[in-house]
Amino acid sequence: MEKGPAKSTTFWLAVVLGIAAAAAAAMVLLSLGREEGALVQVSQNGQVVDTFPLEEPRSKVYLGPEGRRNVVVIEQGQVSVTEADCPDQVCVRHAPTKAAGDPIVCLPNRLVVEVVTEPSPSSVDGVS
Amino acid sequence: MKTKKLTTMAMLTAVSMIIFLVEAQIPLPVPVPGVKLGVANVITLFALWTLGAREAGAILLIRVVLGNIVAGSFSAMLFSLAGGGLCWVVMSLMKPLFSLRQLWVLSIFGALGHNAGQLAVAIGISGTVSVAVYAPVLVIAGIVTGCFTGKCAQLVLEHMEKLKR
Repeated sequence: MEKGPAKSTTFWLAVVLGIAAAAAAAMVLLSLGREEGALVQVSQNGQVVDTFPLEEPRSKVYLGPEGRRNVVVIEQGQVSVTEADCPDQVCVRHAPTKAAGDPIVCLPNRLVVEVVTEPSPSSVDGVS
Repeated sequence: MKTKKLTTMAMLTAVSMIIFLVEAQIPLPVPVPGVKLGVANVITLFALWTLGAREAGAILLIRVVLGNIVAGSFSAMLFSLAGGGLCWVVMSLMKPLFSLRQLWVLSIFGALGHNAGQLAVAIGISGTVSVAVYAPVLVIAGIVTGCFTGKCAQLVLEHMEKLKR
């Protein structure tokens, strides 16, 4: 064995696999903890701008900075983003959802669409 | 600074910028924001190992700024700076722990630092903690891509070692 690093490669392999396992476990726990909600809450720039009931069909266009738009559609008890002109289209590719804890996010447009069971106070939450 | 070192750093900056720009054109099929291969990190690792932390940091900073001016937006630059910055801090601090044969591990930690930096910016920008649900997916993707890019840098450096003898 060479002199040198304090820890063996096997040690680090174990550390990395441990982190991966923890992440996988977190994903399982998150998907189990998802409950169905009744309200759709749309936030822009950290402020809640709209709260809609999930059972009423509607569609609304939101404008973000740099003039970009997202089209949010509620139908058949699910919410989705059907159109957006952001470059990565993550929001559009996200499947329609009715579960809390599974937000549809458009980062370039600072838009967050999430299903909640009760509305949060209309201010930035979670960040002091 | 010696001319040779300056020109080496300039060339590495140019190469990493080209990698960055080309990679930005390739959309990944994963519907998670922020997942990317991060191939430009091969250059950062190479510079970190052969030139040092400050030099690698300078190359990274210039590449992030110029690359995002050319092919990104202001918010993309914010993400790149946060991700790249934290990646550089983590890798510079942890470098003494590893031998060359373990460079792929250093790269993984760099990738995780990158994820953390970008997630922090995402939470700040979107104003909600909800985006944190993406963290586990990003961690797994980061481990895979970090291992890949780290192994690339490692292979280059290992062959260079052989040439020296």
